[in-house]
Amino acid sequence: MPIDINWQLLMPELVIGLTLLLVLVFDMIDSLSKTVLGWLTIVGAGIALWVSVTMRLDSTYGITFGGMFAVDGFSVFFNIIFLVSTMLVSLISINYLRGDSADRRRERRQGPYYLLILLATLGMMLMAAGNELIVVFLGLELMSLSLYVLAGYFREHAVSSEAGMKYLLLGAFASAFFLYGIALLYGGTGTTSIPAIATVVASGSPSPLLLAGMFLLIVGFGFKVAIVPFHQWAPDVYDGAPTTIAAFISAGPKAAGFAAFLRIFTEALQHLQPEWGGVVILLAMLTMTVGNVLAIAQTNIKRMLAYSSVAHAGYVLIGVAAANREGISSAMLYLLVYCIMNIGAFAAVILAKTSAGERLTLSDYAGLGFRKPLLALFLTVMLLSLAGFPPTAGFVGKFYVFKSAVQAGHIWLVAIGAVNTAISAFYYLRVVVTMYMREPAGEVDVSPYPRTLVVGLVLAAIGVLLIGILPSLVFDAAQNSGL
Amino acid sequence: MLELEYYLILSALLFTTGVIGVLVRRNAIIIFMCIELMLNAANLAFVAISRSLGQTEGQVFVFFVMTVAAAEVAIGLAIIVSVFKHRQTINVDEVNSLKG
Repeated sequence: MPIDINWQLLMPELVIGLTLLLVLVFDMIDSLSKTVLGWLTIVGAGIALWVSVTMRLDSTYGITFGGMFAVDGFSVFFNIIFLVSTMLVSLISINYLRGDSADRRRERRQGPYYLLILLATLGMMLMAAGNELIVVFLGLELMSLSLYVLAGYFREHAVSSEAGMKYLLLGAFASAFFLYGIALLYGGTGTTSIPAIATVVASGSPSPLLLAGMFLLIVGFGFKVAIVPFHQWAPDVYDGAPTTIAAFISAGPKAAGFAAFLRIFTEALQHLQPEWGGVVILLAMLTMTVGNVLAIAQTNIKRMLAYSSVAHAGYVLIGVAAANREGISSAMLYLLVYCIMNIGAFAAVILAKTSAGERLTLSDYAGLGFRKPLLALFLTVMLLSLAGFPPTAGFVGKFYVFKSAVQAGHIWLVAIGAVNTAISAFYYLRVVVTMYMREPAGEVDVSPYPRTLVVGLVLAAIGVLLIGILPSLVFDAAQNSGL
Repeated sequence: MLELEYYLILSALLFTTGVIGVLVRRNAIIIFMCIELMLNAANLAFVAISRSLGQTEGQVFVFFVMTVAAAEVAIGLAIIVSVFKHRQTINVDEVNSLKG
């Protein structure tokens, strides 16, 4: 049986694939500065982003590879989220990775870093476009395996290796649940193609195998996107992993997990919504509340951002629980906004470093508002956006998610979401207050700003404010891209 | 030929054994072996289901899963070795400098 392959639909994936091959080859040229690899990654992701945007504008959609690969508004929108995250993360990595000039070993090891970032991006793109459960699984594994290595990338630091091991053990555990869920879904329906499963599910009452498979899938996804009660790995991994990788793990992979979750649950298992809807609502409430309450107790800023990212997964789940067109597009918009503001916040944390190392505890930020006013201003914008204040993108994201839940009749869920927003404002604003109102304990050491990091932070800030002021810019795109 | 149910029950037992192993054992390599057991339980289910449906798809998936599992082992063992170099232990309860 000849398989008709439409290569045009695969352009963004092909560009990323070619870029990673180039990174691999250029890494072997010793005389070349390793910084070039970072720029190559940014350019490659930029071209793929441009291709994705043109595909979105021309509506170059279709299904190829014998129905295994679906390029539609949904997957293209997610590709844009992934590529924006990859570009921002590579931008903030260039200086971060070079580290102190004394550290020559780190300088030499930059090649695999960018290679793994690109592989993870490719995995995410496969997850969003996978129209067959096994393609989704392969994409998930390609992404996860790259991320395990990246989390343990600074192998000379004990904490980085430890983060890698924790992420690996829990991630592989989650993948096994996910795979077993696929096997049971296959047993219950006799197929692994998402549209075919939808037809089987619509035609009769669900078998116990199918229901068991569905709940195993929820557990697998729950681990991958750090939903309470499967979130315990997140703070440890974010804390131990290189800060740029913590930013990366909190952004793209979370969006990719939700992309696959949305495609499987709102397309293949659409008719089982009465069965999974209640579970998702419960998980959303738990995730928001536990994430925000635990974030209050944190004094380490990376751990605080980790718990805040758990809470943000809960807000996205509100949109998923609504499960209508509006809900899906609001969840997509929220993920885009969240990726930009979270990477921005991590970039500001990296920029705030002193010659002794990164500023990680809350008290390190005392007086930063006077010593580094511009940096403090940008960090404030990111934190206000994470807290959901207007006129930032975070407000727009929360507004549409809550609106979709009201339309779907989940008033209680919105009420709990609103209470949680208030709780989260407390710990985000605490950082702002510390920066502007508290005197520093000692001399604040002002180190020069690396240029690429500043560019990354400024771009994130522009994105956050632009979406905050002109939400229709991206909301219309998200709305036309729902499943 | 045996009924499909028997295969699925065996596969569920294997999967449960794997889950319990991950939760109970503290040695990182044993935990990893238990995860492999879970993946193989899924493989058994795939093969049995595809045989009973008279399809080949499920059997092809098993090859993909085996490849992924091999890659996972390669990366996993490398990370565990790097942890061992720092701590001289791979007991997950003792590797706990990150907490809070």
